[in-house]
Amino acid sequence: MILSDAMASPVRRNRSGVTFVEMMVAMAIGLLVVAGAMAFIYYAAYAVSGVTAQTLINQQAGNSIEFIQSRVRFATSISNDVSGNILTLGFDDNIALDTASNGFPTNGIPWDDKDHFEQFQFVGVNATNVTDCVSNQMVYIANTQSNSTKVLVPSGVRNLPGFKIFTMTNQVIAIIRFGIADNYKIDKYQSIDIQGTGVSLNRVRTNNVLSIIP
Amino acid sequence: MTLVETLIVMGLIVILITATLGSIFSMQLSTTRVSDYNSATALVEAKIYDVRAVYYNPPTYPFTTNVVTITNQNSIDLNEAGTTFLVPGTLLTKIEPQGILGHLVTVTATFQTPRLPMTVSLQTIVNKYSGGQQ
Repeated sequence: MILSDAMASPVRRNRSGVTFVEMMVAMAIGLLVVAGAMAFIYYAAYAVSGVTAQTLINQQAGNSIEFIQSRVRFATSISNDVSGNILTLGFDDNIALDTASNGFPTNGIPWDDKDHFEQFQFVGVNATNVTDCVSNQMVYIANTQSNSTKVLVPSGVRNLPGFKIFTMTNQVIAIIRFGIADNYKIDKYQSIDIQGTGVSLNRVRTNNVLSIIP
Repeated sequence: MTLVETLIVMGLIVILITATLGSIFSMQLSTTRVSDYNSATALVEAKIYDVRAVYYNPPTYPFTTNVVTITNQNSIDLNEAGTTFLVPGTLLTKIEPQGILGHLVTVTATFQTPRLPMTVSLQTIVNKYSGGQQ
């Protein structure tokens, strides 16, 4: 019987490999790299979250002010409540017919009736700082006779300092001022503020004379 | 793996991380700038509406036979506490007579936003057909 060299020789062959210490060092370095990668992904994700939140509130604010202005433009009456949280718009449903509706008598003019009313409402607590405005909303009511509401801005609506949300000037101009703040604090502070004006196209000339542009 | 290979891999990873961070930072700046742009545009549009709301009765002010320029100060970018607007700016309203066309209204807002000042401009024509029950 012939034994192979390996079995025949008691001396161990010099094989390549890692020692226990080398393996521990490699694992420690690997852990550091993985931890660094995880930290990088963690913060990158929150940064992207902040970008997304900012994009979202940009869209919400832009769409809301454009929508309010478009409705104010076709309104036959504009009013706000004392708190400045509700903007009420009256609309003529039939411009060929002079009707008495909602307490307004006929006046011989067919296109200035108030057949139905729409509202834009700020719902929540009047505040300017981010913490207090978390659950504040901006909603649109297409007809005050119904309970149906459409949420324009679901959260984070806030006042601008020293201003109401809705202000009236000379009964033909609605000044709209609001901000939206992202309340998810981990991705840092994201916000937008909007100051706009809505003017009714359907306004009478006597109400059309303004002293001078504010 | 040789030292050279290791260095090359590390270099590539550094480039990847730098590019990722740069793109995120760039996106952040872009969305913030869009936010400022929205705010500024709303103000400019508000001023356009203000002018359109004035009874058009030339040559009664502001629709005179000469160019009328009106300057207003305004601010955007409310801070987190909701107390202070961070970016001041100027709204310049120019009302120019255009003969039978009416008056050309140009509103230009310039805000001193960080890094690069922002300018937003809108125009409209105002005449006796512009609106309101004449």
